[in-house]
Amino acid sequence: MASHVTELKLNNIKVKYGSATLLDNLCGNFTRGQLNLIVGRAGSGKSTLLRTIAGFHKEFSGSIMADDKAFDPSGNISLVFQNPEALFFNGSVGEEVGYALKMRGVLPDEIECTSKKWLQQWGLDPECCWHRHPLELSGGEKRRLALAACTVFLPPVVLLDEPLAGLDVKGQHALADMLKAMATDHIVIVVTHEPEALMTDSSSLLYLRSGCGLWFTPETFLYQALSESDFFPLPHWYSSAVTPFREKPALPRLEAGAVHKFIQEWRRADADKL
Amino acid sequence: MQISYKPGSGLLHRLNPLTKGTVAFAAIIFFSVNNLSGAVIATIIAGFLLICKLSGVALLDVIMSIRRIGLLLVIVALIQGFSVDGFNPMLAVEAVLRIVGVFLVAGVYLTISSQSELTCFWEACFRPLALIGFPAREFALIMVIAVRFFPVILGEIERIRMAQIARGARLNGGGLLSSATALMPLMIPTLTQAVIRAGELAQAMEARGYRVSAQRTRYQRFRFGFIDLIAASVPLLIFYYLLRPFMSE
Ligand SMILES: Nc1ncnc2c1ncn2[C@@H]1O[C@H](COP(=O)(O)OP(=O)(O)OP(=O)(O)O)[C@@H](O)[C@H]1O
Ligand SMILES: [Mg+2]
Repeated sequence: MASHVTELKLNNIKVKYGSATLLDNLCGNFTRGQLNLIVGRAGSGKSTLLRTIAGFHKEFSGSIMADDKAFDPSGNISLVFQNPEALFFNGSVGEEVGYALKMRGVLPDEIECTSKKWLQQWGLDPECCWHRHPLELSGGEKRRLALAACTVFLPPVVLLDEPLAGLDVKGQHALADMLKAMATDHIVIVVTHEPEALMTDSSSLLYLRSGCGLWFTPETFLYQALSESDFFPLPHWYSSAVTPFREKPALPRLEAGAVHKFIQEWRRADADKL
Repeated sequence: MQISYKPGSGLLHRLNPLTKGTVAFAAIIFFSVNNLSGAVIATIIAGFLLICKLSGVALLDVIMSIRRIGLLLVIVALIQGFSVDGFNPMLAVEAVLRIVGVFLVAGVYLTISSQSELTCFWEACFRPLALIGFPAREFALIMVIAVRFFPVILGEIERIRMAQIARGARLNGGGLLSSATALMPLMIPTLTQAVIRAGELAQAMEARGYRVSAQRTRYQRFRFGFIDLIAASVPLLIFYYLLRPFMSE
């Protein structure tokens, strides 16, 4: 199931709840081949934007285009809700993962084989949880199941609402790797409060703030966050380590290893100067 | 778009909870068992909606919720409409109007009654039984929660629809709730979900320190006023209407 959409374009999106306008005049592109991150304070409309793209929230004006054609979300998206429990409606983990494949007329044997492989990839042991009820799983397991069930059929556009919540650190790393792999041939849009876990050099970042959307590359985002104290709360360790170097032409990635290397290099450079 | 309590200060809102409950139940019984013609039922429904509108009840949600039972209405219309001599649209319309009447009355009742008013009514219904050791208050709470679960179950169907689209079900393709046969397999997950929710609700109430058997005082004192007197004539009229065939003998 190859995906054909390479770019999702937002044109003047204006989202409302009744008379209250939540997002205004939002333009920009989500593209394939990179992770598209959306950040913003609680209540800034991140989930609402995902729900709008997914076609659930209909109170909006403007247009969403997929490669210059109007985007029809029906059948082309998967949306992992912020609250994974709301996604479950089958009696067992197996049926839950297989649902999307069954809808697409995949043969039963193949469904089982693919689903098990997929569960395994997302870090759930298919043998022990196949027959369990989805709501019996632990919080992190539910999150993994939701991710597996929503991505198993590889839709062209994958929307994830705070997928890192409730995962342990190892799970977060695994998730980040899988998302990066998936982003090579799908449009992956991720809402997150922890961009550091997902940000790579090639990510694009949409910051929703008081009704507008600002687009950044990771680098411009880090510069701005370091120079403006109330712009975005970066992890404390990063700002205290990198702030002394914020006038330098390049900043390290939001990742401990990169920061360590970066500081060492500057130290060495300073030592050479002396 | 769920039916839920919307505070207000209109005449209907200010009715005594006992009157509200009695009128609502009388009206539900009336709509279920009358044998009036479609035109009369439609007039009564229109009158009822007018009264609600005039006293400022938020009708929009209630009316929009009818869409959720659309499928049920179609099935009932088909079953009731067909008789020995072919399809009789009049019968179908009457059957549908009766259900819509019941639905509207129940919806409006839930819209204008707060949780404490509902409990108050049910408790009053079961109070006589308390004399013989029946746990009236516990039972009233169960009934209130059950009534509150009705919209939850409808909402549940909506949620499952969304969950299916979120997993790439196509709006016009198979697998979505487009036909009655597609609805049936959903009944079981819906009911299991409802039971699970009920369990969660019980835990949530306990987690906040709720004890059924605790002595409680009422935050609000309900009065029985002049409007109640007028409203109370409605169930009396209805019972008179229903019992008429037996009385004329
Ligand atoms: N169904 C709704 N009706 C009315 N307002 C809503 C509804 N859903 C959300 N809102 C409002 O829209 C705003 C944005 O909600 P949204 O869920 O998109 O926030 P968010 O950015 O995802 O926040 P979080 O990070 O907490 O998930 C909030 O102020 C919320 O109160
Ligand atoms: Mg959200």
